[in-house]
Amino acid sequence: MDHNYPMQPPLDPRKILSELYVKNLELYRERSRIHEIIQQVAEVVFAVDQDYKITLFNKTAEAVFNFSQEKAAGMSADRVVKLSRDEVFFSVKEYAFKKEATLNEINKKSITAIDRLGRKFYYRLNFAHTLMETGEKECVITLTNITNEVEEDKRKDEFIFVTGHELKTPVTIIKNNLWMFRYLFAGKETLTPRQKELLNNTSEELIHLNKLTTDLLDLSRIAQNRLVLNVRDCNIDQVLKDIGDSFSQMANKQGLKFSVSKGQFGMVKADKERIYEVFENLLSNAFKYTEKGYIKIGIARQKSHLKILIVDSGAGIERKDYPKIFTKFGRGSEGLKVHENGASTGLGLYVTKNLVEQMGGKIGFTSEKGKGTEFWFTLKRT
Amino acid sequence: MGPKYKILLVEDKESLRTVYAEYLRMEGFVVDEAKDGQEALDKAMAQKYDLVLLDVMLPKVDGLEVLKSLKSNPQTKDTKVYMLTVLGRDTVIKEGFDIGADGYLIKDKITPPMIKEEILQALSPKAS
Repeated sequence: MDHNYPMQPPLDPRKILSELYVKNLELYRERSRIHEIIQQVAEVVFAVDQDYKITLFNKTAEAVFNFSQEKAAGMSADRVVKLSRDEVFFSVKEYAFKKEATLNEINKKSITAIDRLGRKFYYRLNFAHTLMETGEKECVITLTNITNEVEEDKRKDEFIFVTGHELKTPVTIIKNNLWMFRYLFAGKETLTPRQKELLNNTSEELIHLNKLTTDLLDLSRIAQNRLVLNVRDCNIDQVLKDIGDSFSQMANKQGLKFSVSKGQFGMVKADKERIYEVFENLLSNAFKYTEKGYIKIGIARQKSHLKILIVDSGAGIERKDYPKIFTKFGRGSEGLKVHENGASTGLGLYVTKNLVEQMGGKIGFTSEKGKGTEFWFTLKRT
Repeated sequence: MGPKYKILLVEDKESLRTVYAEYLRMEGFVVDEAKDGQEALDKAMAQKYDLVLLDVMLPKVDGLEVLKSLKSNPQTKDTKVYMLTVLGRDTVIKEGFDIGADGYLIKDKITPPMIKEEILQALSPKAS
């Protein structure tokens, strides 16, 4: 007997047709469902093809850009999608289909759109690429409305600014009163050593309080893009002398060798108040992290700039902490540890970087764990 | 100490004004005090000063308004005006310079002797 294979059922064209019909209907439903989801999500969703023509445009996009889907479809994206970044027109064409690294950078920044009524909205941008089986590429762009978060952030910055500003007045008054108190007592042996000690401690804490307040104010200014410096010709020799005078006392107290590069370096472009802040921030860091050895200020003349180096023989910075050094609240891996030389907010270097850059200079560092750190910054010579 | 310079000190915070005025007088300056913008204008119109130390945030008439009036009046336009401000009011400093301020002092950064130095520098014959 022949080997029996199970018989294939005869092909019934009508059955195939009806199955196809059902499958097609399912696919259609599924497609509609996805389409509807994309249409209804709160995010703005649209897509462009390789010619930057719009292929997808959801309901939220319609409302934001004041264009109907029917009208937008097939149009060049830049004619439909009106977005700005830092007050400048943001071209989708310029960024669609870029490398991932570029896109990651763009995706971080916020984008604004103005609606029909002139209201400003903030969005977080996300570019994503899809590669079809046919080899065609599409770029899908989503915009998440972050207006509430941005505005909340702005209110917070404004609050920090106002608080910092209000703190400045009493701090200034106390500082001046203390100064006057010493001035009036100068040369008179009316204070006991203990009374003097109390007075000195009060002054030192006040300096610290003033510094924290300044950092807070600067931070809020940077966040609001409102840090304006008065960059003028500034005598760096005078600054170096003042800084040298005020920090040599601290060096004595901590038993550290402290030196400032000798020589005349002349005029640089700087803000006469903020340049002190830059030195104070870098030096107070050096003093905080150096237990023994030295701290020195070196100066190198460059073609158009003066390079200032603050070198210490301190703890050094761990390699893994490098990227965090100049970021907001980035203070290496030690968290909110309190130093014997005072706590800090970790804002100093972030502020310092912003100050130096606004004066037209650059800032950086090199470090070796356990051996020491060298911070440097440049200022334009005049 | 050189010539007896006449200073108008405009500052609404009394304890700060008192300390500045007290110190400057001890250092040989003639100091008049004003506690708001209106009083500053009245005094500056009534007599001539060598230099006005002008707080920016003032009651009644704002410091920048006072500066504008002083610099637009032929009688007072040559009087040196130094703004007194606190850190962070950067746009105010810029505005002040635009109106014609001769300089500025950041109160939370300076001590009384630094004010004296700035005044002497501003009024030394070679500075003008």
